[in-house]
Amino acid sequence: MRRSCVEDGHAMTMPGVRCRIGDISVSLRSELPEILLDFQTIYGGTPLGFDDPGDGVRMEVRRAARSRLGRPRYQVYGDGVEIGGARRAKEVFPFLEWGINLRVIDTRPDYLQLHAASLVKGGQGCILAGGSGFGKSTIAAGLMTRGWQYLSDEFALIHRDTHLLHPFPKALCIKEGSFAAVERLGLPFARRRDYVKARKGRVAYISPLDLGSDAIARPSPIRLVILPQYAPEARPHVHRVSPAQALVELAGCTFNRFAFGDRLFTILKKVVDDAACYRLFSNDLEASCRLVESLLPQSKDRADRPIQMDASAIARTPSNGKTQQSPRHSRRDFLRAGAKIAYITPAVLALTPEHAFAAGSNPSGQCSTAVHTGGLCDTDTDCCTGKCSIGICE
Amino acid sequence: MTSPTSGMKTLAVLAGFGREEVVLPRRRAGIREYVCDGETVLFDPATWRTCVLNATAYDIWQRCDGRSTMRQVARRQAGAYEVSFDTALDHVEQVAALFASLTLFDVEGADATVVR
Repeated sequence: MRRSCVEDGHAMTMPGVRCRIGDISVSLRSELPEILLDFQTIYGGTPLGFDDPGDGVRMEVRRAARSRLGRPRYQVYGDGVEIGGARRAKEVFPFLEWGINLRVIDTRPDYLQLHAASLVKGGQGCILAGGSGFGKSTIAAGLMTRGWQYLSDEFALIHRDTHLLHPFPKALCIKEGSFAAVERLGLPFARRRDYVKARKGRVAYISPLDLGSDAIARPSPIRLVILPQYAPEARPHVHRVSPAQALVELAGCTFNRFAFGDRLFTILKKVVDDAACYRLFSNDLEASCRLVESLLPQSKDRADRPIQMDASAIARTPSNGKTQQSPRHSRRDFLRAGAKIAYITPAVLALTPEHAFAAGSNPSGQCSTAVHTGGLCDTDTDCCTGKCSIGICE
Repeated sequence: MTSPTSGMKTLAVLAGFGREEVVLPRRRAGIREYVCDGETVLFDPATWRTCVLNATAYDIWQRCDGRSTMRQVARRQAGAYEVSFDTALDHVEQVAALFASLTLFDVEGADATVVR
């Protein structure tokens, strides 16, 4: 392993900047001036003196030896340990962003860390949890233009004792496919739009500093759990997800779950017990935001919430704020109707702590099988077809 | 710790004996249960495998105590949920086979308690 800049004394010759992201202090030293400028534009902060070792999460970016073909390479370190390298300058900032997340995973065991965006409205917290490409960041951006306060993107922090959502306002990472939608919302991108982030391709960032002085929320209780899923050919709609199913899926989205062991489930059980849980099938930002917004006020009255609704139903929402649904089903009705059918939805929580969304689904309760097994899903698919009519659905 | 192959062995044990045979399935110790709004999450800390059970499946799980045969479990299920014995037995066998395939049954106990 390469030695870090700090260890070989090289770091102190590099310019640096220090900032706070939520309650986490981050300092960055970089040989690449444009990375420092990007970082300071997005997070603000103050310059780091050459004799200042920094505190909290200490990140470093330096040029590495050129490749055999003579191409430049870049190395990112976190707290003195090499995290990895980038071959193109455009990849460095996204890599740095992820490196900060990795260091937080390793150094903040007081938080359960979920792959989720998190926001707050009216003191009620919402997490949008799921794998990459499910639309978390874009929906979060949409909600912010509707008066929601920001807590985090990619990385929701739930305190292990209070179970409150804590702010970790990293920059929102928007993929190229959503640039136009975000521009229509009037949200400004910070500096450039030509960053490249591994599988996601071209990305741009929205700085939390550009969202307004009161845009960052305080620690808040979680009242709404949304599991977004991109559904290009369907009208945006939501399905109720049972708390048990939501618990399993949130467990699969937790980066540091192995550090918590059994306690992971105890914490997440409290979260899903206190929140309303929905799966959001999304392809239209405006309609999806309307749907999410309509779910929040109902979260106190769990039994009367509709099992599923779509964007057209929301459009008919009367002015008193209560959502009308037809037919109207309750969770209790569903359980009563399904009480004679034994179903099981197994899942394996992947043993690698990255992008795990390894949960089966039993979304509708319409399966007429004696045994319902969702099997093991990968990060982008949902295995249950809901169309089974034989004994075992796989 | 029970390995996946031993789970498959249990499954084979359960599947290999028809309704004429008697099997006493037993829950494996150490499986955590979390009850959420009428459903139950089973979590196996050894494999990090989870599964969500509805109330009926959870009843079957609870009744797999190593002392009841599948037919006895099915009889209780039939009484509790007002379904025919054959339907209940069908459910119990399928659910038990799944539990076995997920290594949630105590394979030693299952082997030892198969009665011909």
